[in-house]
Amino acid sequence: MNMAVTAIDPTTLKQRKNLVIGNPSAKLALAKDTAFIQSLVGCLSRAPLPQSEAQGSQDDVRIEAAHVISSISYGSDDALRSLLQASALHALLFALSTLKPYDPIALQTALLRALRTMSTAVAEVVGPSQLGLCSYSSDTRDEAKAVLDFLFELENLDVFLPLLDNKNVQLSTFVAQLIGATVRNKSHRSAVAEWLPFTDRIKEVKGKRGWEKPEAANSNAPSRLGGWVVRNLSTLLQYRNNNVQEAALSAIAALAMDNPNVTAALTKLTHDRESPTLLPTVLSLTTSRSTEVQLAACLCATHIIRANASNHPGTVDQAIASNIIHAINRVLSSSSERPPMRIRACYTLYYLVKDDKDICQAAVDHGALEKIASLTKSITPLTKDEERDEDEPESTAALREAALIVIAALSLFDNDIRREIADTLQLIPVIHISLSNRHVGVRYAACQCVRALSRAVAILRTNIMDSGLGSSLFQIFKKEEEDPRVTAAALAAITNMINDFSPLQPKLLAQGLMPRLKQLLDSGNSPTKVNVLWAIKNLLRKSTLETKQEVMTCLKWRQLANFCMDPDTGIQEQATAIFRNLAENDSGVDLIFQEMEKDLLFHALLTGLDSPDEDVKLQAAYFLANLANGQITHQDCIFTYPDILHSMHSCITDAKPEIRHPIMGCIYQMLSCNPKRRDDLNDFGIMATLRHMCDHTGGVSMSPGGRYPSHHIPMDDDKDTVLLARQILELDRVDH
Amino acid sequence: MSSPDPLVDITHIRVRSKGHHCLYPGASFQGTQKSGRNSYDVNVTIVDVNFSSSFLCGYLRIRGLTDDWPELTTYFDAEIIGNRYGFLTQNWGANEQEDMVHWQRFPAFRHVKSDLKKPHLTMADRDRGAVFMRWKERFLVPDHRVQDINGASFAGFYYVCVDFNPQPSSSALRPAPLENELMDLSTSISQGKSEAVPISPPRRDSSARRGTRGSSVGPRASPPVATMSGFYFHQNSEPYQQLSLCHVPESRSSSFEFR
Repeated sequence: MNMAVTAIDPTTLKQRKNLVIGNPSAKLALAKDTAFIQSLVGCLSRAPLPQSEAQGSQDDVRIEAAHVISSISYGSDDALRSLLQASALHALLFALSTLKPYDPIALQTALLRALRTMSTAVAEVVGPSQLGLCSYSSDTRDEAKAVLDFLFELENLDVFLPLLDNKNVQLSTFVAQLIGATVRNKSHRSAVAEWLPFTDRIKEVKGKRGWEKPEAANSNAPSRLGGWVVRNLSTLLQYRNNNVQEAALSAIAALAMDNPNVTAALTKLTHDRESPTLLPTVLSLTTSRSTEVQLAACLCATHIIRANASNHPGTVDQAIASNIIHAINRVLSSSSERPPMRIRACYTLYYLVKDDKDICQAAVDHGALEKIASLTKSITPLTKDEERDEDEPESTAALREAALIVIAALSLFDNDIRREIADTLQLIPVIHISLSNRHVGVRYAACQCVRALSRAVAILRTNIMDSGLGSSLFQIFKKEEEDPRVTAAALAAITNMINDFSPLQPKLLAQGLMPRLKQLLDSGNSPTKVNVLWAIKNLLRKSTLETKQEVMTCLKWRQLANFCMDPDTGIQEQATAIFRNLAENDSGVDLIFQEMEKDLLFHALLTGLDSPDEDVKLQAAYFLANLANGQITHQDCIFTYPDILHSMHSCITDAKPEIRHPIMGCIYQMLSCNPKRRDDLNDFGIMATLRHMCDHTGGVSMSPGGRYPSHHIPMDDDKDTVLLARQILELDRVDH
Repeated sequence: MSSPDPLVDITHIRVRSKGHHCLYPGASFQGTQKSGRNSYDVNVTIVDVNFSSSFLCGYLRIRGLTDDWPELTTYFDAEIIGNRYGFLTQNWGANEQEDMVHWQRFPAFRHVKSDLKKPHLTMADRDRGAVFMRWKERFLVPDHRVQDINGASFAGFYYVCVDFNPQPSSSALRPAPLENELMDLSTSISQGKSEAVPISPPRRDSSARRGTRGSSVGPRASPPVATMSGFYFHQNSEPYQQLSLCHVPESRSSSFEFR
């Protein structure tokens, strides 16, 4: 369809704007009119005026064009794609950069507002999503990512960041909103947080003595107190206006997330009366009359305390965390709060508790889990009704997704919490029905809940079996047309469910587990490969010979060996651990020697032993130790690969105790089975190293570059290693 | 998280099941449970261990307890005593005095009792050469839906001590403590009401003997084999039903890790 506009004038544009507001189909139709979009973007630029046209008329066109771009950029991927293809964001930035002092403030406001709206839409496509899963389109995403990176280039930051310090607080608010919505990754965060106005950049360079930070040397340094941007955002908090405060808090939150460089400055004590510590101000706003401000303050405080503790896990300020939890609980338990507020409350809680078991426990102790459970139950009918599900508001589904994500995050690390979810709060039926929800985000969140619950052996053996949760999840896992994010979450749960202690293991194997895993392995990217190999590792542990054979028939021996030499260390680690589990008993070792080409096997093993990655090296050491406990002929085979002996020597001199231990066990085993191997061990310096180890009470490291200095035993594991060395030498002495 | 990978995860922390000495996933212990003159062969398998959460779980298999069930296996959860769980049970019908009477029967307890902190008698998490636990059996394995077993019960719980370096010359267990020993210890805790322990029909019993040593050919055979000792407690059961087991060293290893 082409709705080509012959002439663009303010009246036509106003009509267009009014037509698309709140009308997605009209918005889409307009977006598909590429000629119109090109003309629209062209209108943003200042054109040489014909004699007959007044300046005011052109300003009106530019203003209305910016308004229309604002309207169509948000909410439709197609519309956004059209704008991206017309370089609308570049045009907005250029128009802003070429504004003259005599240009009307309405023009500046319209352009900045359009920049904020379009940048936010672009960031939503690029992600990561701030409030639940968004639709994923790789086509638009690549284009959007390039545009977002462009936005955060220094010369473009110079266009809009100075407006944070502007007499017109509306302009500053737009900039704050832009930062809050678009800063989502480390490089963008650093670019904004460390940005300085041009004149200050000159000062910083001039005043800098190489060895000291300017803010440390000079209390007036432009980069002091979290940087110029954070300082100006802090100033906005003084305005008694909810919109301004919310925008400033959101922007500070975006800059503080995972960024201790900023947050350390926001929390440290200062003697500067004009620049008091920011955190108390933020905390005071958690009790604002406006829910929006409360939640923005909670998110801001959350990112500040989490980032501050990021270098020292377990050191999050519990008192502040409790304050935040109480504020969130108020929103969650108030029936008058709208779903968007409760969704924000859920994700703020998620950011607060994520990957911190102490705060998870604190949230549960303060009743957050109970409130989330009650909320989730209240919006989730336990029976399927397609008509009702179709009519369900999107916001209800988004709230359910948010609540389930928090439930999953809270239950990832503690069995008591998992038991509370499964037994006391009876949430399994809610999770179960959500697995078949029509919304991708809800299914994803439900899979994450099953994944977290399946980390408890007791729940695996009882609730998950009784409820049929495991079987339902497996059906999702097998669906080839499922969203890859849902499949990944389901695979994580399956990985837990196929351990030897799970009653589901034989059922899932019989229902086509391996072909599906193999399909994902062959078609997936590196993270998928890691996850599939992880699942196979768990499946093979303490498995029967028949299972080992069945799995390897599907996986293929050569492919497994190649994975051990993959450039991705995650793949290497899991593949090597699979070999270790295959070699967990005599029949497994025999199977390996029977099926594997020796050179390939030992090349794979050697790659692991020589890996700089300790996780890979550890699995390789245990794999070797398992092989060494096989038949004497298999042991002899090891001695035909001198590089293996050389790597063993390197491991006992340089590796950490956990890696040394299996290698020493391996040496003991091989020497005790055949004392003549002493000569080979001597040739590679292994026996001399062991003697050296025992001669120095604690001395373990012999090589100059050894990680563990001599005369120092920091751990019992090291003592065990020395004890093992003595036993090996004793064996050698007796045999002599 | 620099990009919204389609496989973006809700956690970035791995939960490596890291063992401590002989308490690792898959570790096996063999021995007996004794009550009065009866003794039964017992095998304990550790399934999952997470010291950072003070948690452990496993299976306890007992043979010959009843005619109907020649072999009974239960799943148990363990609370590892330390910073999170104290020596005071405050659950499952056990009071402070009963706790102390039981804990003091483990020789290793005397090395830690001066480190206990009120009010729950917790202690800092560190390697002390022994691990104290409470085991609560939850359900039968493989069929967790079986509730009633004629002649057996798992309504109570176990006080357990795993000693990594048991003294070969001394018994792993001590007789019930003297009254004055109890009084010495009680200076650090509030006085509990002394109650007579009811005598119930024996639910599980066995004679105390050392478990068989594993047939490992690996170098782990030389250090002292760790012992696992325990006492079953239930208000209505015979007191001091003893669990005495030894670690069965293994020459090979395997691993799993939750996602």
